[in-house]
Amino acid sequence: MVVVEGCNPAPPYPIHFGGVECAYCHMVVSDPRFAAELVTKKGRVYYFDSIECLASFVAESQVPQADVHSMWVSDFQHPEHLIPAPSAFYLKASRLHSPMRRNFIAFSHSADRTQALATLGGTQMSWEEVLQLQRTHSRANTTLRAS
Amino acid sequence: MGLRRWTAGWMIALVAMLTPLAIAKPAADPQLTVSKGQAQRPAVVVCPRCPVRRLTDALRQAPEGARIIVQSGLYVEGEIVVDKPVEIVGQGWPAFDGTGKNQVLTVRADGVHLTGLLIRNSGKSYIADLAGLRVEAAHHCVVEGNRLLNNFFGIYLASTEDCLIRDNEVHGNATSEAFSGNGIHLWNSHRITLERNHVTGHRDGLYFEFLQDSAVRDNISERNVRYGLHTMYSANNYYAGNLLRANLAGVVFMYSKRLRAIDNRYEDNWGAACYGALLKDLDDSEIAKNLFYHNSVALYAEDANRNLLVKNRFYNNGFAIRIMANANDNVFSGNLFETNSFDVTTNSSAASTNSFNGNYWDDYRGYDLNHDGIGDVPFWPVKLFGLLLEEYPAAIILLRSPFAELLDAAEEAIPILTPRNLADEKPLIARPSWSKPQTLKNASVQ
Repeated sequence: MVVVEGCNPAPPYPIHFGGVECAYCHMVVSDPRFAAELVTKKGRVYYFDSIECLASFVAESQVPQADVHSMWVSDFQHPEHLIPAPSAFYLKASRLHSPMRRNFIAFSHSADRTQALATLGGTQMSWEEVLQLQRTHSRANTTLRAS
Repeated sequence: MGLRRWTAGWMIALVAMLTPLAIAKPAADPQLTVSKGQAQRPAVVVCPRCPVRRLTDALRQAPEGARIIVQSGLYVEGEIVVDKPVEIVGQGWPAFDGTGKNQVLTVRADGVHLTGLLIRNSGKSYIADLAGLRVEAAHHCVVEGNRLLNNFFGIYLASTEDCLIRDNEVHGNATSEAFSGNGIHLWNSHRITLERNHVTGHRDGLYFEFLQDSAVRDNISERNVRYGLHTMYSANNYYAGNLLRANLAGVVFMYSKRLRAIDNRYEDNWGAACYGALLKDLDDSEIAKNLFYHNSVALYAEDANRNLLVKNRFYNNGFAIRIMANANDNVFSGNLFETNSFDVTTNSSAASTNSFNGNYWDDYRGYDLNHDGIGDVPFWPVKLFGLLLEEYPAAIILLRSPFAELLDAAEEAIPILTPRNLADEKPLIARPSWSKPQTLKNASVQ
């Protein structure tokens, strides 16, 4: 259930871990490293348990693009600190598991991402590339083999 | 006279020869053990005052196939790696303690058998899934009758096959605010039998990902921070007789197929808008004889197809079934709906491809003139007010108001907005005979 935030300060709004569910996959948002948020112009807040869920939600225009006020993702370097999604630096990590297994994590600084790349491996990406990947990733592509 | 003495002499000699055999006992050997009728075979004994004081050393010395007995004591050895087939038996709950820093016990060999061990206080990490017990790339393990306390992840299997995990107690101290790991976590594993384990206080009690051909039976998963049971990207698994109670939400079956969930209980899952069972992208599965009691939403189905839901009991839930328009060809038959605020809600007025047939609805006001036990008029389980709620969840405040009742009454008289074909053509008049109060099959596991 989404609660309409009325008289609050500006987004991003803090995420109540364990108390809200992902607007895309309905799982309870519980991992601060991957959580994300979308705020509409009317002030309605959608929470996501993973960056891939936010990206899929946006790629499928579940909220019309014109109604979106802002999108936020967790800074992996400082979990629970939300940063604007379009300008974040993304890593599709090889050695980390995100809730829906697309393994996207976000950083506010490119240097942090480069450092993480050394430990976690993977591919560096931009927000557009993340969106594109989720657009093409459909149910048909889901196989029952671990990557 | 001579003969008698000769015979007596031989008899004495015979007795003298045989006596040592009768009274001899095997010499007491500290290396040999006696353990509850198990076959005695040479074993390595580990204890704080023994020649071998650390399990790590015992593992280095022991040959393949050896039995290692670890006696009561505190063992802080960093990460202990079992890299050969051995049997490790704890006596008096030897404590393997990660002191909040490391992975405690890791198994990397086939044929390892672990029992009677207390494994606790693993480290916690944002990068690595540290666990009390980790089994990776191993076959034929047996993990039986152990205790895992206050670990980040309790028992973690990765790329493991043909293992038995039974009668373990796995208790964590997860809170929803802090970052936590799962109780029993099976990843990329096949043919695992998970039975009679008791899991509490983790993020998800039982978590399965890329799990196939496995059986999950008679476990208790309760008081976990998130889900009692969470299955993703898995197939051909069998879940029976499990109790999932007082978790934030009960069970998630997601991106999976051909699951069978029979005779489980989902109780008191208390999160706001949280679920007894969340079915997302679940196909060709069977959900039967489960009890959904006192959940906010008993069963939620989205993008779920060709599933069979029979003989389940939905009792005293907020919403019994929330089924979305993209769930198709599901069959609901022989279920029991009692004292739910909403029996069925959906998010579309369009024709539904799901069928409801032969269920018992306590809200049914029909009649049975030909006494065949089946109502003569159909039952439409979707109320207009329920449809309204999908679009405007905040409207729940109007529940039981005269307005809501009026809305439902108007819709029943002139049905326009609720899906007309979502009807049970053969609703049962009387409660089915199987619906007596269910008892816990595994009452011995507390």
